[in-house]
Amino acid sequence: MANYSLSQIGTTLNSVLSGGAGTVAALTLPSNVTLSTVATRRPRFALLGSNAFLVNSPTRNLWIDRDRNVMPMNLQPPIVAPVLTAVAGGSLSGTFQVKTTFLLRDVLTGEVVIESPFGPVSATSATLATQYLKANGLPLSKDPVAATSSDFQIANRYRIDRRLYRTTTGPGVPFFPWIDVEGNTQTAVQDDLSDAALDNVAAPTALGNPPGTVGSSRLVLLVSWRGRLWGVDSEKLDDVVFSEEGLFSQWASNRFTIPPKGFDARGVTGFAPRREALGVGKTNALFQVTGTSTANFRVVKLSENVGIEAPESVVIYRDVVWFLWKDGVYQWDGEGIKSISDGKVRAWFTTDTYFNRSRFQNAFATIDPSRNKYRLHLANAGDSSENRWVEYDYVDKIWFGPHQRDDVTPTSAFLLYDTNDVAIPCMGNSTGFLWKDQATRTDGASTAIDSDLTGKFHDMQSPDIEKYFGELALISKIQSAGTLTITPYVGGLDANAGSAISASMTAGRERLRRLGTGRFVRLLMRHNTAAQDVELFGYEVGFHEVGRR
Amino acid sequence: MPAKMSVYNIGKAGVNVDANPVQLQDGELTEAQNWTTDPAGSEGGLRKRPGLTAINASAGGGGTSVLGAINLAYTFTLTNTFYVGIRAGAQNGATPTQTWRTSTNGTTWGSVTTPTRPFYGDLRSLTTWSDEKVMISFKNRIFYAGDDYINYPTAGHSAPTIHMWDGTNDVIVGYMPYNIAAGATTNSFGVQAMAPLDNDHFLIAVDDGASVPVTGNGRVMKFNPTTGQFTQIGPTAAVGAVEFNGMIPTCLAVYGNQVWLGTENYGTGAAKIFRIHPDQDTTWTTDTTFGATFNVHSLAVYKGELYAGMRTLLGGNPSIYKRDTVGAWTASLATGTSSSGFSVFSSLVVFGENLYALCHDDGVVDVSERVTIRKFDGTTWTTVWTIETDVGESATQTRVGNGIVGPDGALYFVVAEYDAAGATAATSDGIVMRSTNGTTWVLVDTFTNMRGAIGFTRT
Repeated sequence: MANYSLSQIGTTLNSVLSGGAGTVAALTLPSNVTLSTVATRRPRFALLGSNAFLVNSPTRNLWIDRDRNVMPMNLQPPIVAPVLTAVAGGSLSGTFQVKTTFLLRDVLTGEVVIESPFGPVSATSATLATQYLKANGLPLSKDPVAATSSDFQIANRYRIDRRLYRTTTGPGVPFFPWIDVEGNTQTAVQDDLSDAALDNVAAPTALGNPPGTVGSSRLVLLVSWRGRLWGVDSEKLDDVVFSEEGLFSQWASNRFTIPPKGFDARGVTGFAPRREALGVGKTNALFQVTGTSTANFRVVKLSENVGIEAPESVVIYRDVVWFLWKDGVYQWDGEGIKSISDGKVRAWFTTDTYFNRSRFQNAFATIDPSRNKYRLHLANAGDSSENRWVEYDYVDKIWFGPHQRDDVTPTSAFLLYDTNDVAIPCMGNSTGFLWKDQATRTDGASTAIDSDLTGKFHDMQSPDIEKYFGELALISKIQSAGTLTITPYVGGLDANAGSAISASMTAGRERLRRLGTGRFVRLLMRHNTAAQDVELFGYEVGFHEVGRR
Repeated sequence: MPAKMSVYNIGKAGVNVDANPVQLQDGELTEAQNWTTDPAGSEGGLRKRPGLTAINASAGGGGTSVLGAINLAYTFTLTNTFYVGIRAGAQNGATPTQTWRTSTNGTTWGSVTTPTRPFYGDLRSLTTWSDEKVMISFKNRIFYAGDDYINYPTAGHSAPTIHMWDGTNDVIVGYMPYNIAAGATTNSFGVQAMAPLDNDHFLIAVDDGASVPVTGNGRVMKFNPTTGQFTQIGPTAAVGAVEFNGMIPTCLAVYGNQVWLGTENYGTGAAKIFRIHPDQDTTWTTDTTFGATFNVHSLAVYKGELYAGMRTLLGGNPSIYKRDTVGAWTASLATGTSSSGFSVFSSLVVFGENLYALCHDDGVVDVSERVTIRKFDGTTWTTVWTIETDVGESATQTRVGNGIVGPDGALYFVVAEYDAAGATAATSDGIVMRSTNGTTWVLVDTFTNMRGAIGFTRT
């Protein structure tokens, strides 16, 4: 199976093959659509069925089909009303009104994929007497839909048609589908379909476009939940808007305002779609939307003083949500919302020692389902890019890191699927590459992974007693090559580094030198050779108490 | 007293930067840069983190930042497989054992013996030349009329079959029902045309009763391939009634929420085009009647107007007519002079912004130039391809065919010789032309007995 991903790289939208050479192919965007690289306009992707969507970074919302044809997500509505006349012949009598929509039709399947909102209603026709009803001046859409052909994008896969809706004689109030006019060329059509033969289903009532249909606004966030797309209006950042179920082009006027309105300039800062609730985060609170339809959707505040700081920090896996707030990482699951960093690594998030907290808004995260890790990328203290990441093991509930790689800077994180359809955590970097884990302990072709750990100050339950620390014995997995450098610190809490010890990684067990005298012993271990693995099982140190000074 | 400190849970408690040094547990670390636990591949120890390798061999976006990505849902590579039918019979001296020509890339073709051979009318004395339209690609499968029945009025006649081929399974999904107008137990002669109607149905036009001489019964059925249900479009005439004014259905289109039916009035001309609002109207409306030398052989909707390709009788110009949105029919293209009654625009296909037509013009003096592909840009017709003299056994034989836009974004025309009394088996009598831009055409296949029906599966 070949899996493809969509990736915004710079100002291009690309298809990336997960296997083989990972072929990157730039996708042709609709004309007059460009992608922004501004930090506040990060690309926001969502899936609804087999359709993908991209908002926030494009100048208008984009829809990408399974074949990776890129189209506008919505069509602008007609702006002129048809002019109705009576034409000799035909069998229709009475007075009528007509209004139109634009359709985007899949030429390959004949399916209507997008229908625009209605254009204006025509004036009432003259009274027909066994005649044809002719609609003149049909509106023409100016939306771009033609894609350039490539090896997978299909030229002219989609076509704009016009759909005319007509009343019954009177004119009646409801409009019914009347005629589809193929293409975007003809400006007149006539027909004498009787009232009785009109479609029994009246015109749709949920047609409507979301922010981002034209370039003056956009959807800041986008997520899929309950078979609908949910977004945030860039012009009203406290408002959540959502589509009709299963219909990404129909947004009607579905909208919630998440209180408090106007509290800050960021509004809604993140979505967290769970199985039975859609989490909606602001910088100071977390809400949830529950319900199954527009008839019973409701917003409930879950928590104050906990919110979503970084939209891209939100990860959902098996109905558990992890996200970054100002003072740490939180987990929201069936047991509620709780901090998973307090008591362990709170200082990472509440001091300026470790990370640049002013850039928390830019943090991004992904999940490693194979290794049970939530990976959160943050900027190192004093740095202006998210060049570090930490890991939370959601099974063992422990943290690792901060990690780093020395050759490139991560710029995004996401979950993709490999050729075996297995989810793999990936990161994008600043040089146009997408990266995935590999078993070889090397970054890229040859960059060593600088692995550096610092253990605890071992006091043997007697921190006030001087001890003599004897030989260090290290137990590790037998590797084909490699040497671990161990730097002991023996003394008080201010102990200096002792002479470095080299431990072979090929022995499995090695007795090393005696460590010396002090109240504490602490070990630093470092390995920084490319293509060499290290796995530590433990160590032993013999000691005896010397006395108390 | 000597003692020993054993730390065999190194890293098992992860990093702790919140506790003071004497409160830390043995398994805790204060820093673990590029160390982790690795339940996916380790033996439970504290291990270097996995390396990172680039998915893409070449930088994307000109080497700029990757700002985000998402995996496409249900992404997989669909394999397109094109199918062109091979007729039975000894047209060129031998009956091929193969039933279809196939290709997965549109350029390299081979032969297969499954699925079942498609229906070809000429072996059954069907003279409308419509058998290239007896197949459609619908929901990534092909549906076609099978050649596995005995046509009326042959003794022991049976119902024409409708097959579904999904790339693996050849299934008969329907049998054409009797036409009460032709007789309570009279099977259809054969399927004449298919066309998609909506997301769930396609249309099947059949000729009921013997084809020659015309008995004048035909129907258009709406078929649901999921439920297997046939629904007749329009009225069901009484026994002995003559439908479509005695004309044989040849081609179908859906236009302006109506079904349009082109017909042939064999040997006579003055054929008609009928239209009906399916499921709403109770009668077919005659939209137009053409001149005495015209029969309708192909229909297509282009830029909101309906185009009809004509088969002309002796003395008639091979022509394409156009119906505008208010019902006026005018000639869009009239070319040459038919000298023998075998000139035809057998296929009309919209590709990109243009309309393409496959033409056999019997009135052209140079026989090597009788078969052409014409392009219409909405204003002007031009010839974009002319048959090569070395293709096919005899350029003098009438060539008909069908075209499709493939899922690979290319335009295909199958051009097949139509003459049951063909000459020698010297070369091939069917070819496949392919173009990715409508201008440059490549001959991608030739094969004996290959005929005009073309479709594709996506698996």
